Amino acid sequence: MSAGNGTAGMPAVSADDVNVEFGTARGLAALLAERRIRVLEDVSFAIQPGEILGLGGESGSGKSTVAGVLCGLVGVSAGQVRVGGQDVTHFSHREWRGVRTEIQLIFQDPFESLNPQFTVFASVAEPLVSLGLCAKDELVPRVIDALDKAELRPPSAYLNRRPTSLSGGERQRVAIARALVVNPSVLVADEPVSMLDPTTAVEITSLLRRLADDLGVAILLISHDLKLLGGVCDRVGIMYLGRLVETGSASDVLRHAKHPYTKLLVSAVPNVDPRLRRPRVVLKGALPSPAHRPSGCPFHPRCPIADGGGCATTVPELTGQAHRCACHRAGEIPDAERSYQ
Amino acid sequence: MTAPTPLDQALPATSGTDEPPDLRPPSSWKLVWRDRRARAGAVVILLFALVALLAPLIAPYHPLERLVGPDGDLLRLQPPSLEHPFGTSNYGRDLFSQAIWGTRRTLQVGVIAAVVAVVIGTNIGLIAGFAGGWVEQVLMRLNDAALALPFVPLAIVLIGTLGRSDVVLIIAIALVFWRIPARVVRAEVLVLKELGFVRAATCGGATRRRILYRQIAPNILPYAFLYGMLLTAEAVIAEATLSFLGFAPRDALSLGTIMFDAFSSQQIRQAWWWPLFPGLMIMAFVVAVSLLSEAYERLLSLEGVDR
Repeated sequence: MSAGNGTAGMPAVSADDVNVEFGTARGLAALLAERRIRVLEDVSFAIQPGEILGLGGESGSGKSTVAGVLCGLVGVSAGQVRVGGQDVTHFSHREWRGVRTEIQLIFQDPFESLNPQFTVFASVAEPLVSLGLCAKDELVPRVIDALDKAELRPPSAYLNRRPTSLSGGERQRVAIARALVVNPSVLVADEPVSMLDPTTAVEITSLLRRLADDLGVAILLISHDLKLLGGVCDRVGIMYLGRLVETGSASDVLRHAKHPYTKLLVSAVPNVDPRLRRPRVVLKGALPSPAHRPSGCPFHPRCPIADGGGCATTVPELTGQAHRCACHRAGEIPDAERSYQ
Repeated sequence: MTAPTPLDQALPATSGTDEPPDLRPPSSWKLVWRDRRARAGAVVILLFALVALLAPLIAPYHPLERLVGPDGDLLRLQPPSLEHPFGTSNYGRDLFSQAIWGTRRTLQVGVIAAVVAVVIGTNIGLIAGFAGGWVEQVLMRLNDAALALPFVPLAIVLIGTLGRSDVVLIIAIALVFWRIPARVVRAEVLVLKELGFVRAATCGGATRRRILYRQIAPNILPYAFLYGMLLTAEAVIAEATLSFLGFAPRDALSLGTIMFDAFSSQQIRQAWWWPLFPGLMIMAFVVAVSLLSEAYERLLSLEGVDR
């Protein structure tokens, strides 16, 4: 897992200072009172071909919004999104159709991401037909090829089955095959295994790893499960309240976390060994609503090392070279790491 | 889902273990067929359909033939007998034959009107639910207007201005009855369009029309079908109502016009059989449809839980 940070060349997908705002008021109320909440704030990252970037963080930290932004399902209010070097930030539904072969999305819930009325063949062939990518007689071989890449074997046995007769893991593989059928250079996997049991989850994530290694697909893997991210990702980013607070190689971020939030997340990862009991550091409180974003560092109300000064007034920027961290005090308290382990 | 019905009990058995993996679960029609009431309804509907289709073969007399008895007298107002199961009219016409021919026209108008209403209603519901924004507002306010339309006065005005014909009758029925499927379909689309497979289709590069008609519409179809059944019953009643009020085309013969004739002949007090049998037939048809559609509806709600 060495590919990544330093390599030159054009990233397969990149986001630069992306901001996303949602209006909370609708209709007349929206005209009367401007109430907008910021869901993503200055999110930047780039993924090289063959690289897996993991995105972690609590529920509500904006991870799924990132997935929506990359696939054009969520509007961007500021910043730039590039797919294969092309600026897609303000593409319309029609314009996006030209980029769909580049980037594909895998959804969290395999039970609703497949149309219950469609056979596996129809589901997987749908993007080819929608985009008019191949002739009718090529459909079956392309679908079989995609199912094979998604490791549904033998592929021909699945063609006429319906989602109701498939297990969760099989459904997720069908969803992966549907994403792969257009030969995309980027896959966005939004919590692809959170609904699956652990052994199936490992199979799916190692499948993603092989896709990155063998086919050179760039993958954004979104998960709240840090263990899983550590297992398959080249680089990991941790999000808090719509901001990236720490990024770096998977081992840097997860083993030598700098940001207090990352440290707390790491310490909350359950351990199966009953003899290994760590002092439990509990993250106080819940993620604040983006509608009531704290001033200064968004994490400071819950942060164990926040001081009364800068933390509450100025937003920390991501600093550092390969391992970047957005915290005023991460450097100041070198032994902070001790207290969490 | 309180008391288990035959339909409910039938469902767990569908996930039997000895099935080969490739076998599809039993179709919804098979499941509906296991419900005794639905089966009765289906048989009655089938019977009506056969009568309507085979009317020329079944009817023992021409419906407008004036029958003469062996003594040379007109067979006026004969009560039901083996020879004339539904009796005869004051012109000596066989009411059984009239009812058979009447069934044909009643079903024709009812089914066509229901299909037109459901097609219009489903499409408006699909577009309104999926498009949102001002399109939805306009279509749904139109729907509110349709909900406020009183059926009989509207039909009388339309027939008065456009003339008596089956087409006008069908237009009047469709104009009023599209409102309910449109509402239901829109509500269903609002749920469906947030599901993953719709977003997946967007990512798959489908145009909006393709998403609506290929991804969403097939999931709506069972509901459209259900409303098709219910509206057929309603349209049959509507047709009978208008015919009974005398708004059918002059030479038309339907279950409703038989009752209209009975009423306008002023023989209704003596000839109880005259309006009774067509009335009972309309009732039987409506009850059969509601039995079948109720079982189908129960199946849909169960499938909804699965999904």
